[in-house]
Amino acid sequence: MEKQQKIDNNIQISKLAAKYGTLVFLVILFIVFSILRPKTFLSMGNILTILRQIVILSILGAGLTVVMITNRIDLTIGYTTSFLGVVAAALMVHFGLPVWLAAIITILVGALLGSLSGFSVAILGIPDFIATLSLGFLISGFNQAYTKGHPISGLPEGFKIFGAKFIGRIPTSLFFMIVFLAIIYILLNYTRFGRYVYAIGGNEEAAMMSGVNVNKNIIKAYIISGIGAGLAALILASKLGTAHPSAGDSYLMEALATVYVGGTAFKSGEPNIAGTFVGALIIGILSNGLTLCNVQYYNQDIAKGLVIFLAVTITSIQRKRKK
Amino acid sequence: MDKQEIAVKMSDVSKHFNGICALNKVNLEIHKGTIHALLGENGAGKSTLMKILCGLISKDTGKIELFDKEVEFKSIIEALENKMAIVPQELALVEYFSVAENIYLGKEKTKRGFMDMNRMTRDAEALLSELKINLDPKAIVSDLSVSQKQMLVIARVLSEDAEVIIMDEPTARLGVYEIKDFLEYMKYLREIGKTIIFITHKLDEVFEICDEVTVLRDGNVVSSHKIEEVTQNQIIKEMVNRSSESLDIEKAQKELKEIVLEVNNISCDQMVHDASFELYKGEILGFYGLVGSGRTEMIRAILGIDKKNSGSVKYKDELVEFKNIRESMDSGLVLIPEERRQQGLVMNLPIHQNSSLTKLKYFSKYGFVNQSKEKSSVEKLKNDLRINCSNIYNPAGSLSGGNQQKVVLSKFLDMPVDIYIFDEPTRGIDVGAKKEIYKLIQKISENASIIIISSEIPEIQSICDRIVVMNEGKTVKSLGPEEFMDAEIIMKYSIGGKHGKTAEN
Repeated sequence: MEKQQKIDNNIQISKLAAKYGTLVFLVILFIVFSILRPKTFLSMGNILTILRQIVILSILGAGLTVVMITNRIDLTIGYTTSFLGVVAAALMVHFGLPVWLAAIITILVGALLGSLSGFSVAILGIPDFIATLSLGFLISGFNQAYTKGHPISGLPEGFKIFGAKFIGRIPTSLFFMIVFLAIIYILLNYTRFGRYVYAIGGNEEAAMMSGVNVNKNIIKAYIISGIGAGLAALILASKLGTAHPSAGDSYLMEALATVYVGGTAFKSGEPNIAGTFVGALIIGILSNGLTLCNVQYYNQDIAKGLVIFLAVTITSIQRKRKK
Repeated sequence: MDKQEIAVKMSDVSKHFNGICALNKVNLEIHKGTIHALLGENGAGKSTLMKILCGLISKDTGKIELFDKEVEFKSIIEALENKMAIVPQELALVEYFSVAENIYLGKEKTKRGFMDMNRMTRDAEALLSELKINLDPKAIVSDLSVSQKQMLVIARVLSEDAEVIIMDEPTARLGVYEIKDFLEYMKYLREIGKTIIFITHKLDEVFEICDEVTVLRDGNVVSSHKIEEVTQNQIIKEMVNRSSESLDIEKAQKELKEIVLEVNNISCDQMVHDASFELYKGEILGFYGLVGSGRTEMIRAILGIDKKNSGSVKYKDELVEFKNIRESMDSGLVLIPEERRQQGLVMNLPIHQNSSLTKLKYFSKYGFVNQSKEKSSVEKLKNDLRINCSNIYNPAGSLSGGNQQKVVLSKFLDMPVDIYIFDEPTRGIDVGAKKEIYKLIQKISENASIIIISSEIPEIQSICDRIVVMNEGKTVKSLGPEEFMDAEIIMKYSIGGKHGKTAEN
């Protein structure tokens, strides 16, 4: 009897570990850095810094999450973010549009680029990987051609609202992040659209046979990803004070990592918003903590790679054992 | 040729799947150098038996001897090494490779570690001409016709010196002339001493080339005959499932007056040719046919899932042309698909989300799902259908087959539907659950019309008001209850026996 109880307990624990393994990992990471750098890491200022650092990543990750729920991928988002930053800056600096109008147009262009990816994947039937990879190159190419590689600076003061202003000690960009993540969370969990994307990702044929318009919903998912890139672009350009034509490129890989790490965090392997946020936090805390521990920049990627690999490994092994 | 030498001997071979008996103590002797036909309805156990023979699945009990040596193959490769080969329906070839490369796949000829293409081509050429197979060794497989691909597979197994070859419905996808050539080639193989087990649905072919015939039914061997000692009618009689298992379904007398759906001369690529039928309001109409008769394909074309080439569909006195399944669903026609796992359910999603996936628009406002409305609908369906689950928030994949099928069914209830189309509604579920499903279907028919595609004659006999028999893409015959209670008649039509063709010898 006792033995059975013990086995049951073990199963319970491993179940919990499988379910919340990534979360546990986040906590461990937090504790380790708190011990290593108690004064600097745990300060309110630093926590806000970490959050501010992951704003762009979690917004891009959130948009990407929606696409990845449908079992597809969007490799354009890094290039799109760079490009849309330039679009916003050009509209304001070169065309003299007011900040609010430039911001709206930027996001609309993001939606348009997203719909282009969605169209290529869903309607034209190009494999998602190569479709979005080539579109990414195209977008980047146009961007480089337009700017000739030079950043656009001289952004108006009002543009700082997106990523360079603070209300008290709280950065404004945090609000944009919270609103965007909340909207995606609601979309995924309380609307028909959310049901449909999860159904498509779980079993596309069954979704089709249930009367779900698979193509339309896939395109919608890519549009959301594009909108996320638009918002991220505004925040990034605002934060840097200039629109650099390759400023957003490097976010793609980290965004992919957040979604993968996050997928293992709550639901069993399916991408989800809470998980993506946890994934972004892990990456953010890691970068921040390593810097505070004086780890050289070029060594940080090694640590990052290792940690992401470990986080995903633990949950994958757990899940495998469960089967 | 000594026809008495036994190539394959199976004794008391049994196999169960999830407690359901697929083969029951099968005894079978196949003589060397003969073509032996294996006949039976869908699900009679032919495929299972052959898969066991060539090592694709393992048997539960019994003994298999190949040329007097007991064997138990663990893989198709091991079977081939022992001269037992199968030419499956799905031909596994590397489409991008040439004929020669496919023949030598896995046993490539090399020269200092590199592929020796010249030698492979030369050898393939010699092999093909020796086997009298007319194929260019350099041709790329994706350019070949189905019949050429089939010959290539045969060449490949012959290159391994296969002695016993199982042909799984080899003529199902061939045209008339290709079939003729193919049958000639089978005769040639017999001449050179090969033993062939020929699975088919076509009695004409059996009588043309086979030496012996075995009929399977419900996992049992009904009989084995020498071909000259048997008639077509006798074989049909033996194939027919006369399951005594009483289904206990009371049929209400119905007046069938109003036509809801009228289908005229529908054709679509290869599988359906000039199919026509009509469905009356409140009717339960059964579609019977053997594998490849085009029943599912016809329905898919009607509903707009696949394209049709010609023909018309009249629904509620209006000509309709559904472009996709959403349009037909919105008009009140739904298909409850056969493949639960692939087409019916999203296994990782909870039961309630599966059940409501088809009708979210009725539960939502401005795109937001009213979860309490949804919950009460699903709870009600769960009770009505007696879906056995502890919680509607559990994943659909955690349910048993019968309960999964009920969830699939629940997807299309509690919404406006005029015509329900069931594709093999009880495949792979146990007898108890079957009865429940039948009762549900009858209940649904009080307010809707129903089409049932089924491969089980007792099933359609006991619940349908009328049966349409299909054969090779055509609707051959519509049978009323007084006719279809005789299962032989159904079988006769499904096997392509038009009136004169199955005349007594």
